[in-house]
Amino acid sequence: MKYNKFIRYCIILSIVLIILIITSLTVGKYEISRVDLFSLLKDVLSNRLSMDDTKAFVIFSVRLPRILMAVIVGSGLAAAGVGMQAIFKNPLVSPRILGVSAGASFGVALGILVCNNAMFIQFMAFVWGIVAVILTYLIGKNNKSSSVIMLVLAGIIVSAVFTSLLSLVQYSADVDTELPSIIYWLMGSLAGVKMTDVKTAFFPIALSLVLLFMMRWKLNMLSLSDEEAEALGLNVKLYRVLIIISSTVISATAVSMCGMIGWVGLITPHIGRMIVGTDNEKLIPVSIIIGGIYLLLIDDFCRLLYSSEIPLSVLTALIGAPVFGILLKKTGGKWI
Amino acid sequence: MIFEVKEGYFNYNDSPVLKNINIMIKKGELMTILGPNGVGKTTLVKCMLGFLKWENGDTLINGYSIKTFSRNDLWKKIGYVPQMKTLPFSYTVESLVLMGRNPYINFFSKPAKEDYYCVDKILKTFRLEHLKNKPINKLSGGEIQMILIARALVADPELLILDEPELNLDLANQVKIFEILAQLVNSKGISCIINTHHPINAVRYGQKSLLLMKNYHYLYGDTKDILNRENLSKTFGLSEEWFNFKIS
Repeated sequence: MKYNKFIRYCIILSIVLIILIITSLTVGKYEISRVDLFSLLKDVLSNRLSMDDTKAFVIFSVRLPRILMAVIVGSGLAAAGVGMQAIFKNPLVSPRILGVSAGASFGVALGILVCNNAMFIQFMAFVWGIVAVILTYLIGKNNKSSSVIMLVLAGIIVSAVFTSLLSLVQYSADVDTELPSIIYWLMGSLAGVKMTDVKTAFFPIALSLVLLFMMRWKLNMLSLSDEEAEALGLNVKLYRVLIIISSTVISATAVSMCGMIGWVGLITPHIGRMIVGTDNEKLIPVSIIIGGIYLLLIDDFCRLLYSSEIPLSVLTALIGAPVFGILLKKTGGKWI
Repeated sequence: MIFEVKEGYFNYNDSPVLKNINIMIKKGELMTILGPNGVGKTTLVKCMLGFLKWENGDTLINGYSIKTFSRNDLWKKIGYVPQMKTLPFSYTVESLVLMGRNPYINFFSKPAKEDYYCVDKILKTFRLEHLKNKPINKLSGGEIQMILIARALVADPELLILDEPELNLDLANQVKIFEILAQLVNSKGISCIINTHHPINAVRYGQKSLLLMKNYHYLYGDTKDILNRENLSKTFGLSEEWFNFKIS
């Protein structure tokens, strides 16, 4: 793939994302036309905006935070997916392989049980997601042999433990109030996301994204065998830890903000590979944009498809899996 | 450059694998390592390069321990060609060869124009430009091996270490690989250490040979002294007559 062609794809995808953002601002149960939107934007620029206006409220306090969150989380999960697939040398891997989702889900449930406060639940999800990955790393690291396989096994062990703990918490939760609340939280939703949530999620995800972006070319070598990469002068352990840290921070933040969202980290890297090929230097930027488009699109469907909201995790897989299946069938998976 | 192993010992789970290995190879020499399966050839290569730690002894470059070199400095001097295997992601030939430039590229950086230029140059010398944009998993075994050698050479090393470069290659391709290596040794003064299973290639192209035998014995010296019928038959457990064969 020529560099100019790659730039062109990036520009096209960015334009698609921007158009999608603008469209997402206008569509929804409360109708706002594009003309209204642009006149509102004009008001913002000239500092004449009043939040008393219902339209302004819907756009800037309801839809905008939700859209921004979808884009940030989608981009983050996509980049985390690319990073994880590279260090595990396997295109089937997603960020949850190290147990971060299982740990964070347990954190959510525990948080709801202890004190039903949104901030506290977010905090618990984030912390337990990180704890799970640290455990995985400690179990997997303590061996001389191929550490990637050890990490995968450790991830399975830790995920199993936290999944059981989640069931335990669910079992002891109040059936009428707490249990439904745990289940709905885990199904995932971006409804009710506020601007403060966006601010909270932005820094950890943006920082991790920058880190992954800067290491994007080095990911190519990390997907070779460890010795081969070492012999190319690469500090394999250091890069691996940095990538695990950034992917974990992204995934834990994602679960804490919008529940368990599967599939984004697994399939967006593949869509990216279909467009720009396997070179991670180009794949990371393209996947970041595609991840944003993908999750925003899915969230729009969540809002619009049915009279009440559909949980996010249902549609990421329900739409993502068949689309991926069709692509796989059509191309025979030759992009990998 | 002078590459040495001094008094190298290595144990695996407390049972010794390598004992008192002493070798030295000078600029422009081609050395082959031969021996039966399981005798520790690959282990020796891994120890030499620091992937496995010597229990005792050390690897030296120009008299200095390889531990004293920074990662980048070390891998600018040494190019390693691993055994060929399928990659999980099928990078293009250009991407793969570009990885060889990594010792010249900073921690958070990516290749610059100059690196791409080096890749083009090395592909041209190998007459492989036409493969530049092909995915690596679509190439033949011989082509992949050439690409792996090109990747090691693109960092401009003084020593090349190859782990069974003739693996899965037909006779013609084996000859091609060894001819290229011999030419690098002769014209550019690059030293080569080659792990091989084929005494014929070793005798034909090597100046120095290391014959690893069971029970931690080994023979090291000029190929013509080491790779004779007696030593080979002893090492591989074959009768001396076996080596008499001629093709009519």
